[in-house]
Amino acid sequence: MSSDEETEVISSSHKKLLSEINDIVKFQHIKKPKRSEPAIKNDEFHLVKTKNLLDNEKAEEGAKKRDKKSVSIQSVANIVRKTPTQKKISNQFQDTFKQSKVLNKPLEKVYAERIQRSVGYENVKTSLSRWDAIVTKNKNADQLRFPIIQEKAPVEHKKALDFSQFRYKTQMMKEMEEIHNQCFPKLSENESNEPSSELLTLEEMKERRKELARLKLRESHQIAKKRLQGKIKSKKYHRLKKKEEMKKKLKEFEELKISNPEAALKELEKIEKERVKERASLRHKNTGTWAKSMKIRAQYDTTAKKELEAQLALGRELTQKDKQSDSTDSDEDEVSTTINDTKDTENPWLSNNDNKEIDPLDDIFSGYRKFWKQKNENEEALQRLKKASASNRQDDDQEQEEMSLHSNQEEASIGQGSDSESDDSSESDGDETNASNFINDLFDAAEEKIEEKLESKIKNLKPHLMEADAVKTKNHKETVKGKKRKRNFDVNDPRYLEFSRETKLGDIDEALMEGKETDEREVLPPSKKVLNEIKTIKSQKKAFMRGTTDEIDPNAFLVVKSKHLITALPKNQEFDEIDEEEELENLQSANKMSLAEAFENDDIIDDFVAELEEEEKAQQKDDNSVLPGWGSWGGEGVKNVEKSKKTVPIVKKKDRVIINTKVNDKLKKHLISALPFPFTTIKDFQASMRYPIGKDFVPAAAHSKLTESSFVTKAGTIIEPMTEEVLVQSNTKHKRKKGKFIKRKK
Amino acid sequence: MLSRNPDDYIRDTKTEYHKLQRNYNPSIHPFEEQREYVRALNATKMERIFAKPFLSDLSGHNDGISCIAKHPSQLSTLVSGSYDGEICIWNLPTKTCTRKLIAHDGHVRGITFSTDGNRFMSVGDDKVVKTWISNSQEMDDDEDDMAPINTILSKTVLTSITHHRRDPLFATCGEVCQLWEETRNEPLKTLQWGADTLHHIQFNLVENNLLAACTSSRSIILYDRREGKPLRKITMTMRPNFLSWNPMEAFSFTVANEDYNLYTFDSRNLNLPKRIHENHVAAVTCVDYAPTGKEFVSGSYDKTIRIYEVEKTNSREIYHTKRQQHITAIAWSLDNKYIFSGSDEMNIRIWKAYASEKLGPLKPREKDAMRYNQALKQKFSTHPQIKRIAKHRQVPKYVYRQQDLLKQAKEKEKRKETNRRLNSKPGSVPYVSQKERVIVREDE
Repeated sequence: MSSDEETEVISSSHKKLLSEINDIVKFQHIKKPKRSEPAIKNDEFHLVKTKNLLDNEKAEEGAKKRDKKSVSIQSVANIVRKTPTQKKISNQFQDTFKQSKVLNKPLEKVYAERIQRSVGYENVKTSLSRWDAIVTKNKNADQLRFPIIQEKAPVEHKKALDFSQFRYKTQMMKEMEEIHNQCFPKLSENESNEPSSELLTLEEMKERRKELARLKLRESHQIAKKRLQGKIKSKKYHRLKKKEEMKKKLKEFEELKISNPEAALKELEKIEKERVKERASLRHKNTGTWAKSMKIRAQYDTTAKKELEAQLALGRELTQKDKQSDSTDSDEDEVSTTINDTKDTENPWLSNNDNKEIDPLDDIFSGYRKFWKQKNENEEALQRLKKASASNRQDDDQEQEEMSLHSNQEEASIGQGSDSESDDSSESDGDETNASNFINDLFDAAEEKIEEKLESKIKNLKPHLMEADAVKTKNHKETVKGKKRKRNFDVNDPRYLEFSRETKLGDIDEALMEGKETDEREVLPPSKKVLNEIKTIKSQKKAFMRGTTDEIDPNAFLVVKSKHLITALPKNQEFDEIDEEEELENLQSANKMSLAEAFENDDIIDDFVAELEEEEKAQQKDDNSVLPGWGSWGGEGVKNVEKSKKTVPIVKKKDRVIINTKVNDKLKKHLISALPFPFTTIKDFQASMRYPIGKDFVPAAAHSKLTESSFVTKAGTIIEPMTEEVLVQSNTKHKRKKGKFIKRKK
Repeated sequence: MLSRNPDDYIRDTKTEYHKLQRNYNPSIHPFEEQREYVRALNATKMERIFAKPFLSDLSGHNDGISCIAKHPSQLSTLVSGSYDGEICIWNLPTKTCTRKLIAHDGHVRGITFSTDGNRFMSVGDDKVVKTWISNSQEMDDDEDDMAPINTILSKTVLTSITHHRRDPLFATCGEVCQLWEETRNEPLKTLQWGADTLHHIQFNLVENNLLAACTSSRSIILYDRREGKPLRKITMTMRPNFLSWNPMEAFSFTVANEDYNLYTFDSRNLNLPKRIHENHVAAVTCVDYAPTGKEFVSGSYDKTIRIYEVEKTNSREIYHTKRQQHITAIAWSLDNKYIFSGSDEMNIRIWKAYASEKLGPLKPREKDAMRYNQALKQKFSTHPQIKRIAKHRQVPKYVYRQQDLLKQAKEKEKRKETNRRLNSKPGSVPYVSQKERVIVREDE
């Protein structure tokens, strides 16, 4: 009983407990794991079918119901048709119903995918082709610097709104503003707002700053240069400079005359004014026609000299007074400024000190005497020539001839002077014609001589030139053909951008020598070996036929030795081709002279002769040293087999020359036996070798340019892969490198 | 009598260089070419004397190295995974392992860094993608530091992983190629072509959306991230093991192949490789481009590392050491100075990319001299003696022998073909170039 009761109690309490617990735990606290990511691919097992689709009947019913409930467009169109206003729309509906067709069955999956793939690939191809240009550029670049700094596209900074402009202005403020504007007119637009500076990136700003610094530096250089030029005392230099500037100005004036006649007229007036001023100044005491003629006369006539001196003294006095009264300085300044370019007007160092042109009379005379002497000598030479050509002519008085010549010159000078005055206002030309005519004559003679020489040289050169021309035209034709062929390239073809580079350096692509080292000849297949041998034999034969190996002309060697004839020097070092031969001759003769002179005491010629004799004796000894029986069997019945002598190239003996006939085996292995790969002609290869790159042989700038490595990296800097910014990068860099005219070899 | 102005040749201070007046007139330098030749010869010899490429090794792994990843913005950090599932983060200047992570069950198959380099992801044989913080500083042994910050379970086998250069995207491959977003646990896209396993995948570094993968069915497949389908597939005669995109040329990539060669392709013209790179004597297992895009380095099963120029068939350099086993992973540092190689025998080795380069800062004159020597070597590179010295390498015996054997085999093939051509109807045995022979077919 008790136990039953107990159990009952327990069971009831237990139930209660359970129910309470159940009350508490009505829902699960621990949630089932869920995936929150949106799944793109739905598994077929996860698909839940809707209730309507569970059984077909129900589905059909449902569909009918839906049909009944839903409104078809057709019926709507029918209703609408009845109303006349909507008739148009209903007609349109009808049309679309008539025109609509059932879509085609989609392609099979395999084919559809193939099409998709090929379209995708084509897209990728076109996007990849964008990189062609930059890749080709980098490939052909002389030098690449990594990391490649990429400019960032300019980003527009939005201007902060200026709220002040929206402020209401009182009448007072407006009036004040007006007054302010009247007093301080607004700056010009260029100065007030610089729109460009706000759009610049940091890189561009830097670039601009660099450029400005460069310009400033250049300016300072220019100033320094001009200052130095101003300090130059040489009169000749200044005269030449003046002349050059005059010419330049004249040219400009001519251009101006065509483009803007009014301005030209004004300019002409200005020039005329300046000329008048210049003439009025007391500078041209000894450059005028009168002074010059007096100078000439002064050599023979003392009165003329005195007259001239008096004139000069007067001039000096006047100038001294002038200096005291200070007016000349300003005049001179004006003159100098007009002579100089308009750009340099502010430059205080450019003013030339023209005061210094006043010089003592003796100086002029000495100069003149020199000139006269030279002239006389020329005259004599001319006479001698005349005598040689026509011996019957009588000697004339030298003075008379001079006088006549002089008079001729004068006439000419008068003529020219008028000319010069008519066509231009250059005062110096007009004054100096007297002297310049003499000089011109001399120059003419010299020119004629040069021309004659040139002609003779050209005659000698012509056949060579003709040959060269023929070759050139041939080449040209070929290149034209090549161009035509090239034009056939497709633009989309990646090869379109590529161009053949001139091979200037060896570019070997050979395996490392890791295996057995074999001679190149062994590597060649036997057939090729034979071919090679045949070739060498043939070439030897040819050489024999020509006799090049037999005869070696030491003079020819000498010609070859002059290296500058064949070196491809940097352009600034190139010699004048015309003078080369002459120079060579001079050099040779000088060498001869110096040899004899330098070793006057040593008597080397005798030494040399002795040496020669010794050599000959030694050779004879060698010939005699072959004794029968030495090194071979002797006795009766043994034939004397002549030893095969080493084949020594037969060299025709020349007097006073010792030719070393020993072949240097050590040198042999350093020589190239075949033309290396990228080169097609021996000439190209030799050119590549001839170019020195060392500091000892070429100037520093050229050296640094020629030894540039093909790419440069910076230590500790990450090199990022290329980015698309490269493609849109604007090419606005103004990099100036030293030695930019020296093309690096590739 | 000679008289010179002392200003021309006496320096003002002790620290200045001696003044030297030079006359560049070539007629007074008749032997300039010869002198430069001798200089070039000496420079070449010096280069060989100073060619000591091996710098040091990083030891710390307990099994062979399976993969190496470079940090995209730190030159001092390197991450490597091994066959036992461990990942080591290395500090290169101190040559120490700063962190060791037990990442996967089985091999670590691939490691890749995120764009900013703060995280890296790894995949292993356990079909899991784990994301880690790539802090190279030494951390306490807290559980948090040793645990990945994210773990993604994949339904398929994963063999390789690669991260997009700009976006928070990465791609994995295995049975299929999958594209993932970093913040999502499901792939964005699944790309499949055929039923073969893909064993390596890499994003293009320039044209960022392009991917290429190597499959076990001897083919290379090109993908685009934006397209719903793969783009193109080529099948080669032997299996491509590894591929690397050129960081400076958007369209070209190089494939390390099982047939001892490497092939450089233009991805617009896949039916013909641009160039074949020879010289390895066993399967090439890995390849990595120099950041300049002008060279690449390859590791091979023949226990050697070779450096190739992109435009050349033959290698410019061969690196090997006595105890180095099969190379499994290779990387060229982003400053173009060093090469890291991981091999079967648990070591990561650091090499110089240019064997005879002098490390550390150089004085201007030193730099100039180096440049001059380099230019001279290039100028006279075709001369036989210089070529001989520059090209000579001492190699291990097995490489030496194998090369001989391979040469013979090649010659035999050639001979056989010519014989067949001679003994059959003219035109029936066409001439097929090596390049054409390598590609079996191209599928659209």
